[in-house]
Amino acid sequence: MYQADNPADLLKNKRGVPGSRISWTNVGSTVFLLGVTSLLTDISSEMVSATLPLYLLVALRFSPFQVGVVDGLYQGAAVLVRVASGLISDRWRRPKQVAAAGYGLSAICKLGFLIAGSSWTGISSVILLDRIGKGIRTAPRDAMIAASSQRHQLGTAFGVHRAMDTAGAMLGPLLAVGILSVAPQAYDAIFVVSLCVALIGLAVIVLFIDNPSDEAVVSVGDTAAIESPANQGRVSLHSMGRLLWQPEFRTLVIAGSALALVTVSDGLLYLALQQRMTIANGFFPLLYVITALMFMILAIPVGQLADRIGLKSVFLLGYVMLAGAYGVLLLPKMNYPVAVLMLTLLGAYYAATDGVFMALASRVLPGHLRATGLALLTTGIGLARLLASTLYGIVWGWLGVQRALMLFICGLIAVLLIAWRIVQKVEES
Amino acid sequence: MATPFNVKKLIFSLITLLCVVIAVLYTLFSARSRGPEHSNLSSPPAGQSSSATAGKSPSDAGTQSLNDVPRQTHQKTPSDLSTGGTASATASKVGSPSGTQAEARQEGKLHAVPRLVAINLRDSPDLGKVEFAPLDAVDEQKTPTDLHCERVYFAANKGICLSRQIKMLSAQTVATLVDANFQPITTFRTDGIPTRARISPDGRFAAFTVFVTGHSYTDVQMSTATLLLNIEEGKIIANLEEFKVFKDGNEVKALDFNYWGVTFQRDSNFFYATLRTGGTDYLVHGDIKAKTVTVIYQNVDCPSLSPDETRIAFKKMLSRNNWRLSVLDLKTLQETPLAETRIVDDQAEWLDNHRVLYSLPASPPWMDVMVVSSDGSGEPKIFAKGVTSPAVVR
Repeated sequence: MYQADNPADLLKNKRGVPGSRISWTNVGSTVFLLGVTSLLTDISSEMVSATLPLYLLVALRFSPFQVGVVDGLYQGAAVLVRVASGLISDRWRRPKQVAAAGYGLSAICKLGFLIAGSSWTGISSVILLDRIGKGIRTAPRDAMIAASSQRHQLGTAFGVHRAMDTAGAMLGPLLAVGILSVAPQAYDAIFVVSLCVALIGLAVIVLFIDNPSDEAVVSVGDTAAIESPANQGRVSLHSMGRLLWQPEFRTLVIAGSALALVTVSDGLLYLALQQRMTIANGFFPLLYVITALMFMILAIPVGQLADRIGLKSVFLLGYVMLAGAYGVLLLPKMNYPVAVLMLTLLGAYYAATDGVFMALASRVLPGHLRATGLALLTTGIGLARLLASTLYGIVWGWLGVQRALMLFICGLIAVLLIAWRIVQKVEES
Repeated sequence: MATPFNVKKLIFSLITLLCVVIAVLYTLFSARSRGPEHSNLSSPPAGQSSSATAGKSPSDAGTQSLNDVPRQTHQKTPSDLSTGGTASATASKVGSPSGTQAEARQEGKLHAVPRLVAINLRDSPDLGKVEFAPLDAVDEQKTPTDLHCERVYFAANKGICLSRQIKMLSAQTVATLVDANFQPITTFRTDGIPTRARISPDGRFAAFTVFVTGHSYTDVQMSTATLLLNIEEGKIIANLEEFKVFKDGNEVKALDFNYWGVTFQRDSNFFYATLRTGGTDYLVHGDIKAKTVTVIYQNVDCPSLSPDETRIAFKKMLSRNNWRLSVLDLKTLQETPLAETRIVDDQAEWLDNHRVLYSLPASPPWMDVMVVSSDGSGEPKIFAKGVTSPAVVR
């Protein structure tokens, strides 16, 4: 049904793109280099993430409740700094320096784990700082990807970046397993290797990436000249407020948050899957791996598709995939092929929404407020997801897993239909 | 930036080279100093390597004379006997102790007088080992054993000892059933880290709870697994999550059942435990033969049944990670908060029908076992210093 809606989009995009297919190798060196930085940083952070619960529980003998508190810190910290960093990077027009500061902070934190030893306050402060680092770097990085890409290649550019990012997230735990098999319980070695990998990633961004030039910012982010270069002026809290009143951006924030509100978190979907077919706890991480693998494989082709048939169509289609994944969980019979189908749909949902939505927003946002806008958008979605998980937990306890999923599917379809109508009005090129 | 591209390339190459060299060297150094052979040893609390305790000759004989139970060489549980790498726990029989050990020990001495069995957390060579002492001289007449546990329980000449093992990126709990002389009979393993253990007063059944954690610190799922064991048959009877749940006469079905803190009645077919579902902690009464549990009350964490079976000592959750030790009268369902106002995260143990024991963190890794009156009066006092996981053997 989405294709019937979009011959106009196809035609419009064809004008900008001489060849029908956009080569993913054509996305520009900045996107690649940012991808390399993200890949290395994700290897570094995921090798720690994969081992940290064990380190806390087994080596430092924290109680599971303390680990729960650490987990809460992890979730909340990134949100707080994200908007501030977006605003600062736009105001100073130095997204590279702001992003590099975020990457640097997270790198130093790996050293912090070694120094903090077994101190509870030490460890939790380091984790807090690490998450703040992540919050700092995300928005300016995505703004740089957008600023250094051609308008008709935004989907592909974000796809390339997300594919590399996810590859890092998959390699990290593998590297950690490798180290622990050579040197059992050598958690300090994990932190040292993680620090080294992060430093190489930091070197890439510091040495080889330049801030996008002002002209590029203006020419790429011209969104129907909502803000002409003349009245760009200084970026302030006021301009952030004005941004939220821009109808197209506001539509995206509302649609994105509303869709996130009916999104069940992966962990809970895996739990539902595990309950339906009794997957051994040892295989639980495999569910994440398969989803990430599908995300990685599909990110680039789906990005290319988005550049051809329209970002918003692919974005909304992503949520159709998600509804499909819920639907699979409701099938009367569960077996391994069906489970893999569910995980593939989930991976496809990520490929079609994560980078694509940022690309879509980048087109709508004025260039000089892009990092701020992307930060606001991800914050809105993040909060909505948190709310959704809580909501789902309550509904689950109240109605049981089957009916809770059914309710969320109905909610998802309803929101999707509304989003379809309002998002279609967003002019993307 | 004015730096020429070639200089940047050079700097980058140097940084990369340096980082890779440091990473590789450090890993190899760690591998050399630790060696893979340590990977399967259970690690005792506070991170001391248990390899140091294996095969150690008994040195301070003076501590044993009061109890006639000689120290035995710690028996490592054979890790290669576990079958299958799945979440289901696996059992393995442990070979009978050697002749010299059998000669050396004398049966039943543990029960000569009422005793406290607990885990030593004082800074000594016996850190993490189970010790026991007569109830009237817990600090003066301790006898160490060579059993390493993180949680221990004893009743009716049977004991259960929980320890943890690390396997790559996951932790396993090893539950060892032991006899009155602290000799291993059977071991069970399951994924997760140990928290609670109990043995029925008649020594027929055992139960233990582990935390099954999520895959990463973004997603630590605090799910538990509680297993019931038949001691005589050396078999796992059930994971409590397989039991049917009844509330107000109706069967409840949900997928998020989590059980912990089993406490048995004298008729050991029946037990109490905590069931969390939908975010609420219920007190349930279980029937092993019928494989059912019935919800009888709520907001009860880690129940412990009094010897006269009229009351339950439990942790009452006040807010997240904050509990008040309380007692519930099973007949009137009246709750009495006890005089202990500090946060208690333990399954209490009744010293007699009027006093309960529980462990409380002192300066880490120390824990003290405290005693407080079960009627809410008086003040908490230190019962035994530097020990945790108290079990009263009557």
